[in-house]
This record gives sequence, structure tokens and C-alpha cells, in this order.
Amino acid sequence: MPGWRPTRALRRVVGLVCLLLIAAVALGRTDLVVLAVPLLTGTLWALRRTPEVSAEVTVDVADTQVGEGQQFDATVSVANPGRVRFVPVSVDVRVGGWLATTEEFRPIVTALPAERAIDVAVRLQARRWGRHRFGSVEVVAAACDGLLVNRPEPPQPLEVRVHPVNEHFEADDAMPRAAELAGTHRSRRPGEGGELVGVRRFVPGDRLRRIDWRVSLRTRELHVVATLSDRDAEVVLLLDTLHEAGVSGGVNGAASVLDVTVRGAASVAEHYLHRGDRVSLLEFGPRHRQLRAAGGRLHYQVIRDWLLDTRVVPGALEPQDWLARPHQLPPNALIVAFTPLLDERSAELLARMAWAGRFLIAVDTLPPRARPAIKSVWREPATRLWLLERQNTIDELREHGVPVVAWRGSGSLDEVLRDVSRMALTSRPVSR
Amino acid sequence: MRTRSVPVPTGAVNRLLAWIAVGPLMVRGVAFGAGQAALLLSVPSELLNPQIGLAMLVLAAVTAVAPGSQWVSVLEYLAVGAWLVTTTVQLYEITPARILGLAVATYLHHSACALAAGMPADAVVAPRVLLDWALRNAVVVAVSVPVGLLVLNLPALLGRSGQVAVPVAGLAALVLAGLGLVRLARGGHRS
Repeated sequence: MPGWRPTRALRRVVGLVCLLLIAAVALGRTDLVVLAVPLLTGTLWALRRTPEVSAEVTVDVADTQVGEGQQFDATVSVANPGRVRFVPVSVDVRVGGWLATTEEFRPIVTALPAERAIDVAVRLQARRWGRHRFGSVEVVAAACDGLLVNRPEPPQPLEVRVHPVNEHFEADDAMPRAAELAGTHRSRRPGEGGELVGVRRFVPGDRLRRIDWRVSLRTRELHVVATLSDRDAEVVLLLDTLHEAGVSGGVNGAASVLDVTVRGAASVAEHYLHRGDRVSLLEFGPRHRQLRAAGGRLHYQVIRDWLLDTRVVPGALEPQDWLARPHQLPPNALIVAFTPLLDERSAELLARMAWAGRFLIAVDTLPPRARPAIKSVWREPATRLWLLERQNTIDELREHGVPVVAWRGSGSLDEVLRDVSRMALTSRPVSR
Repeated sequence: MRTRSVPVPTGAVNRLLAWIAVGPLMVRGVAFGAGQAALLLSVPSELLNPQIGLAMLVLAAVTAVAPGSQWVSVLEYLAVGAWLVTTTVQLYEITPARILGLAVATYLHHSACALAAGMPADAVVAPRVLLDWALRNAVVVAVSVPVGLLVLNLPALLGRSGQVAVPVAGLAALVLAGLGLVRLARGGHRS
């Protein structure tokens, strides 16, 4: 009977029957035997066949990749490979954390016939991005009228990849400096592209298909349509993972620093990849994670998977060492740094990059209501001082040419992107 | 005289009622009723007073709320002990209806608590589970009542020889029951 244990009910009934029968013999009382008769009859009837094997539990999910807030179906299968019926079998899905059952779910109690299996369908909701495990299922099988109980081995958990929700992001077409001779951004140089800038006189070398016949007939001189060349650019998303702040409430709740970072990075990456640019990701943290620059839809899937492992890891890190690493930043890339600016090292890194002539935008990821987790009468004044100090850091960064904007989704970077583009007209990047 | 209305926590009650499911409620209701009946039948009505009645009510309610706890054993041992003491010390009359009622109530309490212990209070219970359990209990009660009546009348049927035969039969039943339980347990382990 591996895995099966007597319940408190079995110990109770055995003790009670023995007590009653001993007392009946000792006192010569038949009424005590009468008291024992139903208990003894029921127990012997229940224990006539005892289970020989344990129940087997497996879990399955309809989709191992879902989005934040998305609901998906999971199945808990409980099998009875033995020849004795299990009843009652209680199946309860106790998923904690960010995989939650929908409100309608209640534990199921049923009977499991011999050599059969039951499937319990569960509807789950992914409440936050990340790699979550589904498998914390509590199954309790009983047999022999609840006199024996079995807690089967927990099932092998399944990993569910929950991708961050895309907060709608649209940016202006202002890209400071293109990198390649192909792409979708209009450059500042005339060339063969789709962006119309005017009509000019034909010069040797112009393609015939660009001749504007209407203007040419009117002016009796050949004119061609003048366009700007289309270029692609490289966007580097820099994720500051030195600190987490704020309390994450999931997809429908408050956002923490990492929530804003991951969701914002996913949105920006999707936007630029959709426009044909190449996007790379770098983590400013002790793990030195990086994802090479590439473009296309497949790369977006890679980025979304890469973002799932974003977390705060303690460890030593110096900005100059980080910048000196060999991977680092291509000179013409637009760097979008997601940072809560809670650490001097983050501010120093941004300042160093600005000094090096990088095209840089800092996205402030600190939630508006994030406060230091201290309990003291000095909490309020200390918080105000801390906020003032942080604002001071932001102002200093702006003075150094680092635009700092709060993440507000659609269009939140447009203004600073235009500023960076204007700066690109007057400055030259310096490779370090 | 000024009166003050006591706020009734209707929200909490509604949430509790919405949380608890019908199936577990029924089984727990049987456990409560059977426990209360066992306690009432174990003590002669002459000895009952409001304090004892309230204590019985509370104990029966506790076993219904926590059917997997030690309180179930406490109630059943208390019922049997009270019967033993009142009929031995106080020499109250043993009537077939009371002893059979107590036996059936004790068994139903034990059985209902054993089932309810494996059943979360908010669980959705398959009707088959409840029907099978009710049928099994009905069979056990149907078998036990005539057997109990037979055992009760055994001394009268056997006459003077019954004074020896009944204890011997009881001892034999005890040994057989013990052996049967041990064999069942070992048999299960071997397989």
C-alpha cells in the first residue's frame, strides 16, 4: 500500500471498537457490543479491498507562451492505475504568485474508478510577465470510505512563458543617425527613397522612372522627383537592473520599476523592429546580459523571451568597467536607457555616455508612488529630501545633455527624439 | 430606554454562504446532526440542562466545521463514555431504541466526518460521491440494526447459559475484529 496512510478516522474507529468490545467483555454488557456493531460493520466493509498503488498526477497547459493578462486552459489529470476505486478524490489548484485561477474555480471532489483517469480543466490567468511554473496542484485521494488517504507525488511543473503586455508606443520618425543604406527611415541625405521632398532639374545619372512628366511638359525641361534616401538604424535598449522599487500589482495593478522597464522595452523594440530597424538589448547589471542587434519579426520573439529573465541580481558593477567591455555600443545607435535613477552608478553611466557623444534618451522607470520602505516619523520629510535629491540628479543629467522622460507609452519619446535628432545635426559621435 | 441596533455583518455572511458549497454543507450538516443526536442520546434527559445542551451544541458544531480534527474523536469517546457512566453508575434504563439510536448516530457521525475530512468546504462535489456514501451508510445501518437487536436479546434467548456465552462471544468478536483489521492492513502493505 505504498503512499497510503491511515487517516485519523481509521485510528478513531479502531480505538473506539476495541474500547467498546473490551468494556463489553469486562462488564458483561451486550449494549456496548451493539454500539460497536455499526462501526465494526462499516469498517470491515470499507477495508475489504485496500488500494495497492498511489494515484498519479500530471498537468498540461494548452499554451506555454501567453501574454500578460491572458487567460489559458490547463488540465490536471489524476489517474488510478490500481484495481480499487478512489473516493473521494479532491483536486485543488493552488497556484500562487502570478499564475492565478479565475474566480470561478473551486476544488473538485469526485470518485475515481479503478484503472481510469479524470481530467480537471482549470482556467488560469497570467497576471505578470516572467517565467512561471504551473504544477502546484494539491490532490488528495482517499479510499475505503475515507479511512485511508494518499497524497500522490506532485506533478512535474510546466514552465509558462508570460510575455509582457505591449503598451502602445508610437514614435516620430526622428532617428538621429542611420546606420545602413536600407531601411525605412528618411535620412537627411537625398537618395532613392519614398519620402518626397520636391522636384528638381534632371541631371545625368537620374533614373528615367523618376522623371516627373507633368512638370517636364509644363516647363519644357526634364524634371525628376527628388526623394530622401531610406535608411535603417540601430536602437540599443539599455535596461538598468541595479534596483527594483515599487510593488508590482500585475497587469492590472501598480507597476514596479522592472514592470515599466520590461513592458517599455518590449513596446519600443516592437515599434522599431516593425519599422525595419535593428534592435539590441543590454543589461546594466552584474550579469552583463546582452542580446545582439538584429531585425525582423523573429528577433522580436527573441527579445520578448530575453526580457523574461530580467531581474535584479546583487553584485559589484562599475560604470567605467561596464562601458569598457568589448561588446559595447555602436557609435550611431540610438540608446534608450530604462532606468529608475536610484543609483549613482546609473547617473554616472548616462553622463559618461553623453560625454562620449552618444545619442541617448533616459526613460525614468520609477513608479510615481514609489517611496523608501522605512517606518519612521521621519519618513515623510526623508522622502521629500530623497525626491529632491533625485530631481537634482535628473536636472544635472539634463544639463549634461541627457534627456530624461517618464514612460507614458504612446508618443512619450517623440519630443526628446526630435531633440536628439537636432543634436545629431550639430555633433559628431565619438567612439570610445 | 435607548436601544442601539447591532450591525449585522451581512457582507461577511454573504461571502461565507457564497464560498461554501452545497455538497460539503450537506455532509457537514449530517455530521452536526448525528453528533448532536449521539450526545443527546448518551445522556438521560433528566441530566440535561441548558449548559450541557449548549456545550453539546458547540462540540457538534466544532466537529462539523473541522471534521478532520481531534474533536471528532472527543465527541464520540464522550458520547460512549457518557453512556457507559450513566448506565453503570446511575443505573439508568437501557432501552433498545436509545442504544440503537446512539449506535447509528455515532456511526453516522464517524462516517460523515471521515468523508467531510477529504472534502474542502468550497469544493464542487460530484453527486455520485454523495449518493454512494448515503447508500453505503444505509446498508450498514440496515445490517446493524437487526444484528444489534439480536445481540441485545441474546442473553434472554440463551437464558442462564447466556451469562457465560455473551462475554465469550464478545471476546471472540474482539479477537476476530482485531485479527481482521491487522490482516487487512498487512495484506494491503504486501500488495
